[in-house]
Amino acid sequence: VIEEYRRKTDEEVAEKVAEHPELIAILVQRYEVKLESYIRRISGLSFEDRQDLLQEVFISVYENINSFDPDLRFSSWVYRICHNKTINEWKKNKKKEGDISIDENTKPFVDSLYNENNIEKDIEQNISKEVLSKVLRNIKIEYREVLILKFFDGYSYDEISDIIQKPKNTVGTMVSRARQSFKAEFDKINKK
Amino acid sequence: MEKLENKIIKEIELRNLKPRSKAFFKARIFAINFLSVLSIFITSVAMASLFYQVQQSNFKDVLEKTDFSVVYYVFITLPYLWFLIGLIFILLFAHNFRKVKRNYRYTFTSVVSGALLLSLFIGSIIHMSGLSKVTENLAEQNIEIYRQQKQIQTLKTDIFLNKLYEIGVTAEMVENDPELKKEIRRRYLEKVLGREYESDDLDECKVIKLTCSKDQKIFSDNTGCGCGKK
Repeated sequence: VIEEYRRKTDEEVAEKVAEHPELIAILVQRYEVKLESYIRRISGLSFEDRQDLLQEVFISVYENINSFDPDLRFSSWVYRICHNKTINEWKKNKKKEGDISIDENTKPFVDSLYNENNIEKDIEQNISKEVLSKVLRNIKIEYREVLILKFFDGYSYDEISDIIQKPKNTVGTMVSRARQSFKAEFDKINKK
Repeated sequence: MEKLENKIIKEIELRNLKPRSKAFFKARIFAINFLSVLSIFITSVAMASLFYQVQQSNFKDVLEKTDFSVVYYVFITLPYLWFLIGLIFILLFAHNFRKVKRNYRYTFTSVVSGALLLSLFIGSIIHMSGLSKVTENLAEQNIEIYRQQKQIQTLKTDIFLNKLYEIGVTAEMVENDPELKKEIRRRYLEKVLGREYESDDLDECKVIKLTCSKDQKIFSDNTGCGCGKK
């Protein structure tokens, strides 16, 4: 069954998971890396905690697969579950939050942040991973999250709205405030 | 290191996990929708009772009897309990409504405003059909806290009437005694319009010859006749 469904879309696979539980493996393979990066970038959880959380996310996907709304993209739905679990976990472990870790090339993030953003290009576009991690760590988690979804993962406002379950206009406002917050934090770090 | 998908499949088997059925989710959505409809209905009944109370409060009459400003009178006689009930159920509705499907796309404020308008509309229909009187009576007969709240409202009006006129009257007394009502109105007109009554006998007013000072003018109405401020 797995081989038969490997080339199908997420939505088609999701529709059959209740019937064939082993198909969850396809969804895990497709989303494991993306979700792991997402959790790492926004929560600062340790590797072990991230793995446990990821496992919880996929178990929850499996248990709630019949509530998947076909009007929604599967990726938005799975990110939403991951978002809810990550935020809950982050709230529980706020005090022992580790460092936000950005392993990827920062240039695409910074480029897209500036292209969409009318902040003057007074920041060097080649921000180091360490600085970017530090800036992201110092801004509010809700701002950090929308910046990552928008500029790292490339989601549209509509998709972010589906993930964080907030109106599209609110998402727009959050992104705009997040950019300002990012710039302010960057300036603060730069001055030091 | 074991692959995550294998770990998850093992976990599913080990804990014998099953996806929740479609019926479960349908029932949940039904329950949320039912609660939403119920919330709107209760808020509409609250609105209908508000309309009824405003109608029954004889605003115009009381305002004529006293020199309360409209805002002040509304403030002391508002049926706060219905407001509270309406508010609680509107918030409950907004909370539930945004949980269904993609309704999170609407802002909380727009959902609350929409629900309020809908409740006002349904509430006015309930009121116009005469059902608000029935609900009001039912509430008064069966809900102790409601009875108490209405008593407090009457008490407040009485206290302010007494404060204003320094006489031992109650709203109920004024309502049931035409002479007292006339006296209150006369005192009000004396105070607000600076009237000086020559007589409150309407027959006498027809034959009496009034002379007023330069800065006064003659008045004559159903409360009597005399001189008042220009």
